[in-house]
Amino acid sequence: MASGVLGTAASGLISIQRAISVTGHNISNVNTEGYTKQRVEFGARVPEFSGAGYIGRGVQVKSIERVYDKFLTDNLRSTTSASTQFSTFADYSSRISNILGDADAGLGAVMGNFFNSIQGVADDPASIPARQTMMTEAETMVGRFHALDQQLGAVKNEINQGLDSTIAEINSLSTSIAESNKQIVDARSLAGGNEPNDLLDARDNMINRLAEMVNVSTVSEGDGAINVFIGTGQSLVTRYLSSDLELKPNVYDANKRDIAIVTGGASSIITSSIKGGELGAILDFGNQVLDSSQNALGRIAITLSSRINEQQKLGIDLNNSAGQALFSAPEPKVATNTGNIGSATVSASFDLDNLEDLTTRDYVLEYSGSDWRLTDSQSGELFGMAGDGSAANPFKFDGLSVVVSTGANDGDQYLISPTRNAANDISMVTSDVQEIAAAAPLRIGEQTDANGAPINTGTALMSVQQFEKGFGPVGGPVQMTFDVATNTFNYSGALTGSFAYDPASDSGKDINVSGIVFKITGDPAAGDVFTLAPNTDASGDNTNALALADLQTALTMEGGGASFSESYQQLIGEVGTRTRTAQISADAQTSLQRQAQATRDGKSGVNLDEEAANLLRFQQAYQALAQVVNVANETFQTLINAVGR
Amino acid sequence: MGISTLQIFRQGLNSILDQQAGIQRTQQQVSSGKRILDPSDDPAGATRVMSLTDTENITKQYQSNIINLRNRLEAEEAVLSAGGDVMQRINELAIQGLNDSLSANDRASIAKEVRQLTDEMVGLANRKDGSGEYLFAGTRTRIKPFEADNAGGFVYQGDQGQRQVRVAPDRLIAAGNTGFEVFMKIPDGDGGYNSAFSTLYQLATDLEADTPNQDALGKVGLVIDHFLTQRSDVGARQNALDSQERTNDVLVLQLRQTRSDIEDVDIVEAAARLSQQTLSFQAAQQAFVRVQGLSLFNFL
Repeated sequence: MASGVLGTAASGLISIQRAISVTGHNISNVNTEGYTKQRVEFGARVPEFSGAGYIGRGVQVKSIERVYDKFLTDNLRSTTSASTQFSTFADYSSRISNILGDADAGLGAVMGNFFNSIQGVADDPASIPARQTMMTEAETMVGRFHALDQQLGAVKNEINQGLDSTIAEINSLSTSIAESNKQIVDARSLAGGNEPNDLLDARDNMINRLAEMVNVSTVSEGDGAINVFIGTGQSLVTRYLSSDLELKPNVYDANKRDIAIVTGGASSIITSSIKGGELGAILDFGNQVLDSSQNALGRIAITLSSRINEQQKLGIDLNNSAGQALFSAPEPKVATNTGNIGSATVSASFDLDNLEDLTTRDYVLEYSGSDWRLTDSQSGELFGMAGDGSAANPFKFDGLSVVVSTGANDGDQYLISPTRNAANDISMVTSDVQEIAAAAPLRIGEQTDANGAPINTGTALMSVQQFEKGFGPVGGPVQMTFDVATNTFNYSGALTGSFAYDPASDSGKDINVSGIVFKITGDPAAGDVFTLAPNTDASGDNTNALALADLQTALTMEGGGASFSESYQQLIGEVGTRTRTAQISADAQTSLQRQAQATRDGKSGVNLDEEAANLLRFQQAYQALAQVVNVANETFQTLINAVGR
Repeated sequence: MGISTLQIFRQGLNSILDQQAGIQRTQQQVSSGKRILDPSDDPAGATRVMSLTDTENITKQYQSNIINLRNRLEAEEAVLSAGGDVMQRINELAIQGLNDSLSANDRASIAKEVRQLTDEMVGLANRKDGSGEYLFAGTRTRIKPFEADNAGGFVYQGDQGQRQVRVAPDRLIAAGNTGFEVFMKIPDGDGGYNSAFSTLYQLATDLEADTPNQDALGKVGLVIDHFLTQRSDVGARQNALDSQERTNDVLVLQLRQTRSDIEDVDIVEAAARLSQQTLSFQAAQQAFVRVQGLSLFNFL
């Protein structure tokens, strides 16, 4: 009888020791990230049959369970992915908005200074210091384009390094998860199906960490193994096997990398299906913010330098020569897909007559076997093109002109990045202040005698307004003589023809002769002659400098809807809005993630007070059982003493 | 819902860190005086600020254009004024020359003074500005506009181009008048034109020949009138400049005010917010310490 009592008590003592040990394990792991508290499940032992019926034989530890809820863990994982994704995106994106939006280090101020310096030249075109200032401001502006482009390039390097380290960590995690699968399956079968709780926690932790890198989904198998998928269902871990991610050179640009998954020795590109986490954020940021910012900056560089160059060519400089380009003209970048089979070459140039239609897109030009298709490299949207791609009639679209040679194979692709490199490629081609073409190419005036005294007797005056691209040509003087009978000016010399001028209605209106726009006011007398002639020594003429300065506010961008600085402001507005949206989402997701964490911890985390209470509970039970042993012992002693007398 | 000990710690810490971030942001706003610290804080506001700053800078450039232009107009005005004085003296001499009691010698000496004054007038017409550019050469500012010919007259070598200067987005104001306009194209009263120098040359020649005439005196009067017209023309432009300058000044003030409304922080509000945040921060710290001190183990 006594042995039965002792056995029953001993079973309780042992079980309670186990329970205290589990409590101790819980308390030890109070600060362990991802630890799931464990509970001892007690169960009565199989009773012993006696004449009086079944007598209980005490207690046993049935199992040690994790207090675990799969839904809460999954929820924590998905909110972690989202929160990391948005906050990583916001971090990177705010760097760009910081770089571009800085009042001093951005482009806005230096562009303004450049145009102000042109006004300075217009104020005093012969002044060498004013011209020097304009050259210096132009150099500063070009330097700023380079600096901004380099800063964006630095961020690009950084995200490339980020890709490297993220991919490396994902690979190491997937390997470990596969190993962990094996350990868990082995441990379970060894323990007769009992869960290896701490191993499960460790694996969960690894999957949680993976969720910070990229969106994951998991499928559990009956034997305790877990399969992990990323992207749109690409298998990263299948039982004991893990697939590696690797970075491969982009088919257009070896400096750009794509993400590939290697399964069974075969590598396939999955860049576009990667979503969520740091990896998703880096890819999104690269596509949505970084590339397009660089394109937008390049677009300003292209448009500004081309417009200034064109206007320069419509003037004459201090050396009496026709104006020349101030800036080098960067060309669109065309990259050939490394998988192309055909031998066609594609060359792109800017369509200067439609430069305001330039976009910040990159395009893919693809040969379909019979014709060429143009799509947006990001969205895949299909665009139409004018022309047939020949040198005589090039493809024209969005401010670009593209010539393709024969020899393309079905499926051959070319990537056109019109403005990507422009902010880096722009440079000054002259620093000679004499070459600033401030003066008009032609001068206009009434005829004079040998002494420069007036001959005309009417009150009419003529003044030059502007010169259109391709005006003239005017190699020598053009005499315009008024015929009062028909109210007509007949002109002869370098150009011949006539135009009507009715003093009663046409005074002050612009007259356009072969692209030369001038204004007549007042009443010409019969036979009054005005002369249009090539301009020389007009050091004080600011006609073209004014036209250059007016480019500051001209609507030369965004399809003719924005000036240079407005286009830059739009860029900052866009990056700022993307950053802000990401920040708001990051805040929201972080708060959801914290809630998910709190819910999961509330269920599965260790609470020291709870453990202390359990300790007390177990301690009391242990003391009571000790008392049972004592009583059994004393009872037994009584019997011994009685017998032994 | 249960709560874990780590979670209590985490929550306490998060609320302290959140408060800290809020305080740091307010402190940055107060110390910079700016509400928008980065374009992402208020993208629309930030681009508006940039656009306002742009407009302000352009307008300031217009103001600087106005100052330069005013200097030029003042220089021209000074020449016209001095030219007017010279012409007044010549007018006196022309009237004097008509006096019947004068001898040929007297007239010769008057003619001599007229020639000297003509030289002075040529000097004025060939005046340079501060940077060595001829004021009255039209746009050919490096070519001496009035050069003596062999016949004793003067040839105009400038052109008829007049520089325009931008003083507002849609407003150009002409800079100096050309020598052609000022000295060469003086109405002769008969529908034709005379140059100031030929008028003076004729006057001196007539005096030297002892044949003074009313006609020459009349032409001198026309030159005087012409100079006055030119002066009032320049004066009108100076007035236009003054008025545009005031308009631009007002615009700059408005732009600054608008910009300040958008980007500047309301200091009173920010200071109140800062003290509020500091209070919450301290409360969070104290709560953290209190809660962390609570444990059943303290009583075992």
